[in-house]
This record gives sequence, structure tokens and C-alpha cells, in this order.
Amino acid sequence: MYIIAAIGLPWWFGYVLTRCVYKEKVIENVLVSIGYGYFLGWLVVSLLVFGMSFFSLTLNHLFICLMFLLLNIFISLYGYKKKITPVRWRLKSFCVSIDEKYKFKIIILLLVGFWLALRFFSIGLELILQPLYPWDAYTSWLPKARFWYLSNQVVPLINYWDWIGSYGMPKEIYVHDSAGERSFASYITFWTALIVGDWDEGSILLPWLLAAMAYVSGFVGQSMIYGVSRWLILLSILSVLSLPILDSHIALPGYVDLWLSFFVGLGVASLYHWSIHRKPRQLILVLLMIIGCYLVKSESGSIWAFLLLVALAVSFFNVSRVVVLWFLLTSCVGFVVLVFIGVDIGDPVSSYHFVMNEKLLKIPYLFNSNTPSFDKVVDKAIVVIRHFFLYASWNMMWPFMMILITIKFNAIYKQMPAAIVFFLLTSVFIIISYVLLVDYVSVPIDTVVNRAFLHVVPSYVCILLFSFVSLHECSEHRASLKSVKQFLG
Amino acid sequence: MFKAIAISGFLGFVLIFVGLVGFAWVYGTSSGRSVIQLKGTDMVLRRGEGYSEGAKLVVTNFDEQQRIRIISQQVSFRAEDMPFMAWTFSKFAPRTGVWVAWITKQDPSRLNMMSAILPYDSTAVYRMKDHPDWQGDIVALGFGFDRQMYDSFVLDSVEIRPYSIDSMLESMWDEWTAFEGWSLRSINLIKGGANEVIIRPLLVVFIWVIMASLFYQAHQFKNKKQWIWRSVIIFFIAGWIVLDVLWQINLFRQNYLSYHLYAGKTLHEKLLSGPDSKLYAFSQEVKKHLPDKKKRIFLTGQGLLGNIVYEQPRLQYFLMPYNVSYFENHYAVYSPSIEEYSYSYNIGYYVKGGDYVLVSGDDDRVVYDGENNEIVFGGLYGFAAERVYQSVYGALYRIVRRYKVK
Repeated sequence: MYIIAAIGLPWWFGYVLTRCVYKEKVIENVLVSIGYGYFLGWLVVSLLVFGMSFFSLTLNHLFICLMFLLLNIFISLYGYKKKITPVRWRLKSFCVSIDEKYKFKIIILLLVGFWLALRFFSIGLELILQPLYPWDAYTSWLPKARFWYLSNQVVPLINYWDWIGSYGMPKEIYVHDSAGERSFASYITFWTALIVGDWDEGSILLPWLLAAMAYVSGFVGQSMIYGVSRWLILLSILSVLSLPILDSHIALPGYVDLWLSFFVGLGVASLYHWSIHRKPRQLILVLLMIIGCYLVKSESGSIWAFLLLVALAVSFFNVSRVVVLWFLLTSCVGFVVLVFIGVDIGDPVSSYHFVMNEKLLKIPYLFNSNTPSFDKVVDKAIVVIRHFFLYASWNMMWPFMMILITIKFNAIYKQMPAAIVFFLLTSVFIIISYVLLVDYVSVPIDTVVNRAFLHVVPSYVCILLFSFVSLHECSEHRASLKSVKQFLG
Repeated sequence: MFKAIAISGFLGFVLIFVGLVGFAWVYGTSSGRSVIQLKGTDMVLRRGEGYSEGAKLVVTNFDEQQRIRIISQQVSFRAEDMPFMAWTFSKFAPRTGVWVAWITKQDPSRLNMMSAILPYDSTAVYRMKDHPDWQGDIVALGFGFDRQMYDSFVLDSVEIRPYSIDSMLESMWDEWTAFEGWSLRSINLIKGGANEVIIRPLLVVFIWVIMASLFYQAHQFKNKKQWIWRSVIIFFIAGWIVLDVLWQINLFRQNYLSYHLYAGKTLHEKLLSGPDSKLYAFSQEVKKHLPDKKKRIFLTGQGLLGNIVYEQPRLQYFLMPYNVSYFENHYAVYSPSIEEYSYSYNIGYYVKGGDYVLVSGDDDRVVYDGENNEIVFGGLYGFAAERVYQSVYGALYRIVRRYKVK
């Protein structure tokens, strides 16, 4: 019961808020609201727990539930008054509309549905049965939540050196090595544990499983709005959910990479729409997803948020594809020149220190790493190839993608908005430099490759899928054309 | 179109099979020796509980140290002549922490080990040919298991086989269908099948997709028709489904294991049944002796399990909400030796009166003198201290005051 409240209340809140901008009575809008609403709900929860942490408050879980419930009822009533009515589910007509002549397609649809249900059952069972297992989950992402819950106080934790230096201070000061990490995962886990009233690692990590379901809902909704055929949507969902590496992140929850990949994936889906149709509501969703990326993970989250923001600007200023390509090319040349010259701006001890030289690459609030080098790049490339084409982590995703892009390159490129071209190329460049050119002293490349690509694979699937669909199939496009015609009389 | 696609797919499959048989044919030659067969009752249960049932060995439980050790009666053969080893179980549920072993005449004190693979069927065929330690005269075979026992298992027989094409193909199939349980690296990569394989299933399926597509193209070319890209996509989807079915079966086997280990248990009971059971039990004992959440606790030591990189953060997590820091994480060297254990590497440099020091596992850098209630870190920093708790896994000390600096 409490677990339903813990997850359901923020989801409901997010759903109603999203429905406020997706008012029309169509199934696509419901799916988009369910999907994006889930992530919006958790962003609101993280804000709430951040507030508790900031003011060192400890609130009664029943009180929080009641407040959330009242807020949800209030917003729902407001939505009802604004005539945001629920969609009538017409399953029969939905199935028949696939193709009345070929009933066997419905059987295939049911089989695929059954297969997906089986997959969710298997990974869900693991999630519920296994105690918290993966390394970063208990060293980086969730210790704050556990500490807050068990100590019954939401206080900030500090890093080791500050802790050592704080000896003798009257204030209670607690240490953890993950003190500097983003707290999104800890916020939502703490929230769930607080409402459930127990640190039960089976139930408090359920948001990871439901995130995958919400992503599917949001993605299907956006694809339907775009006019993608149900078969292609089905294949795309199947291709993402059957990736063993993604499944393992759900079955062994605790890592934030899964959340980041869904934020980026849904952000790109909205960006694609906005680049073409300029519906303000899609812009709102892109901005929300950008905030999500930034809040989830410090370094890579900031990079994806930054890239999405720049892609948004590219779209806003209607930059053409040729200009984007020239810009990227000159940026690469400029980057290499700057690294060779060596730039060092700002005070080294301040957080605004900007460095670009052969050894260090430091961009305030965005990047802080060794400068990529070509040392052993062939060895690293072999590792990447092994992960993509030999191991089971990605099923046949990479060979399939490569073949698809090769045979349909021209059509895909022509179909893609400039902003998406920008996002795609920069993300490929950043990941390749992050994976192939980084000096792996303490972290083996094997631990980086798949998680780095996991951040963007759902968005790549979305880009490929949308690029296959011609514009006239898109319902929003048809609606825009209709409104233009009405405007012109 | 669909008929042509089906035929092309079938031809691709035949070609792959012929290719694998050809590969097995050139991969090795038979020594001409006959198969050595050991019955279950030819094996002796050295550690663990069980009984013989006909020619089979039934293992019902592990010993007090949670171990199962089975060793064969003396055998004698040259490793180079017998490159395959087949273990047949009539009942063996998925589990991790299983290994097979052998002893050679040349180095009888050394136990050579490799992780056991658990395929779908009851017989696991190991291709020993490429294992670096499979050489010389083998005198004994062994089997071990080091994790939580949740179900009995039945060992039917062990076979030592000379090289043959069917054993080679069988071993490859077993590698592809081997159970891959969760490990700490699962979050970073899923290999699909056994850890070491001669060829990965994904590559085989990819080759099949290419072969089938080429056959289909040949068919189109022969009938003077255009190349249909949709056919390639169909082959890809078929290949994808095959690999996904393999993955789903692996997930089901993992579900079976997790269900039997954890279902119906509280978190406390789950942790006592899991791989970190010793660490968790130790942390619970330590917690009973910690008076105040605010006290600073420094965690050090060589570890219970011999892997402090894994162990110290895990122990810190279990000890929450106590104010614990795993000290050596903040230095370039994990677990510095006694010679390196000086100044800023030395925990004594930071510890103050009123702090606690938790030593997990043995640690020759920390010397406690119980008679004088004195603790010395790396021979450098001495403190008046009290041992609050001690067990075979480690000790907890309360620092009273620093009284000497060497």
C-alpha cells in the first residue's frame, strides 16, 4: 500500500501536470503524459527532499503523503475544470485499426506483448529478490539515502578531508566518499523508504523498473504523435528492452546511468518534435529532460544537458545542416589548436578555472579530465569492437544499426533536423573521445564502454526511428498544416 | 518472398553448421585412446554431506565452513591425449561459485582449478585443450562449491575423452548455453555464455545473417529481381530473437537461483544468505559495540575476503548510520605494506582520542597489547586504547589518548 503511495503520488502529480499541456483526448497524449509525468514527478520529489536536506527537516511520512495527495487532488480538479478529460479506451478499435485483413498481426502483437511482459517479470523478480548489489550503487548513489533513513535526519554528508579537518567541532558531522556526487538517486530512494517506512532493498528500488515502463510509454506516445507505424514502434521498444546491458541496470538497480539514458532519450524525442513543429509543449518537455540530465549525474549528465541545450539553440536559430557540419569541423580544429597552444584562464583553486592543454582539459562545471591522447588507441578500439560485436551486452544492436545507417544514410540524413544532426555528431564524438582517447589509469576501459553508450542508445534508436518516417505521416505536422491553412483562410 | 527468405535462412544455417564441423575437424586429432569413465561412486566426498545411491553420488549439504569438495580416486592419463572432460549431473540447479579441478603427477601439491560452466543439459563438456595448466600426467580430478547451498545435487559420472569432433561441438554448445549469473561486472558487461569461449554466439549469428542475406541476394540475382533490403532486416530480427531467447533463458535460470536463495526472506536474512554473508554478520556484531552514531570510526585492515577495494565500502554501507570512513581509499596505494605505512599513509596520523578504529581481517600493521591497553600503528603512532570487540574476522578498538610518537 505504502509503496503504491510512494511511487504513485509523484507519478500522478507529474501525469496531471503534463496533461495540462497535452490536453487533447487522444491516446498519444495520455502515453506521453504517463511517460514524461513519471520523470517529472521524481524531479519534484528530489526538489522536495533537497528542501528537507537544506533545512535539515524531518517530516512525518503520513503528513507528506497527505500533502501530496491534497495537492494532486487540487491539480486534478483544476485539470477537470479545464476539461482535460480522460481518454476513453477503445481497445477493440485500436486492435482492428492495425489491419483488419491480417488478424495474424494481432497475434504477433500479443506475442510481442507477452514476451515483453516476460522480460519485465524476470528483471522485476531479480530487482525485488536481490539485496542491493552493484558497486557504485552502495559506494556512490545510494549511501546518502541509507544514512538519512537510518539516522532519521536529512543532513548533508561531507567528504573525507573536510571530515578529518572538522575534528572537535560541536556540530554533528558525518562522512561519506560520495558526498560530492549528485543526490537524485538518493533523494528518490530516501523518499520511497520514508513512505514505505522500511529500508527494504526489494521495494525501494522499484522506481528503476517503473522508469523503464514510463520510458516505453513516453517513447510510444511521441512515436505515435510522429506518425510512426505501430510495427516500427513495437520493434524499437523491443530492441531497447531486449538489450542485456539495459536489463541488467534494471535487474540490479542503483546506478543512475539508466535514468540518464531515459532522460536523454525522451529529451531527444521532444527535441526532434520541437525542431520540426515548434510546439511550445515539446519545448517544455525538452527543458525538463535537460534539467533531469543535469540533476542525475555530475559529469556525463552535465555534458548531455549541455549538448541538448546547444542542439535546442541550433533549432531555435534555424541553423542549417551545412552550417552545423562546418561549425563542428572548425570546432574540432579549434579544439586541437587550443590544446596545442595551451590555455589556462582563472585561479587554479577556484571552480572557474578553465584549462586546455596537452595534459589537462578542464571546463568549469562541465568537464575535468586528462586530455584525450592517441596512446594505445588501437588496443582500446579492439576492446570497443569486442563489446559491440562479440559480447552479448547489446544483442545485435550495433551491427544492425551500422547496416541500417549504411543502406539508408542519405534518406536518414535528409530527414533529420539540423539540431539532431548536431546532437548525434557531437555525442558520437564525445563518447568516442571519452572511451577511446582517455587515459585509463584507475578505471579499466571495460567498465566505461557500455555505460557511456547506454546513455545515448535509447536516443539513437529514437533518432533512427523518426528518420525513417516521412513527415506527412506525423499527426502534429498535419495539425500544424491544418492550422496554417485555417490561418490563411 | 517469404519462401525464398526461409530457404536462404536454412541454407545459411547449414553453411554455419558445416563451417563449425570443418573447424572442429582441423582443430585437433584423436590420440586413439579410449574414454576413461568414472562413476559417481568413484568420487569421494571430502567436505560436505551426502551419500551414494547406486552408481551416483548425492550431495545434500555443505560442511560447517560452507564448502563442498569432491575428489576422484586415483586416475592416470596424459593430459595431452585427453583434451575433454565431461561431468554429468542428473540434478544440478543453477548456481555460482562452482569449479572443477585436477592434480598432476609433476606438481601434486598444486590444485589446478577452473570455473565450472553449467549448460542447459545435464552434461557439461569442458574443452581442456587450451587450458594452460592442463598438461602432464593427471592423477586426480576434483569438484568444489563455495556458496550458499539451497538444493541437493546428484553426480552421475565423469568422463575423460580423447579428441573427437562431436565432443568439440558439444563443448562449444555448452559454452554458448552456460549459465552467466550476476557478478559485480554485470552492470558493465554481459558476455553471453561462458567466460572463455572459442567463438561467441553473437558472432555466429551475425555470420548467419550475412550468409542468409547473400543467399537471398543470389536468389534475387538469378531471377533477375532487385535486392530487397527488407530481407536483411528480417534476418537481423530473426538473429536478434535467437540471442534474446538465449538471454531470457539465462534470466529464468538466474530467477530460479535468486528465488531459492532469497524468496520469503527479510533483508537481514537475505544478506546472511548472500555472497557478503560473512561481512554482513561481522558488521552486525560490530554495531552492537558502537555506542554513539556521532563517534568517528576509521576502517582499516587487510580484509576478511582478501579484497579490500570491494570490502571496505561494503562494510561502511552495512555499518550505516554510524560515522565510518574507509581510510585507505584516499591514498594512491590500497593497503600499503608495513614499510609504506608511515606518516600520511598511517591511520595513527589522523586518529584522536575518542575515535574508534575498526580492523577487518588480519593486519600486521596494527599491534595491540592487551596487557598494557596499548595500540601501535605501523610502529609509529602509539595510543592508549581499549579493545571493545574481537572476533576471527577483526577487532574494534576505542582510542583513549595518544601517548607516544616514535
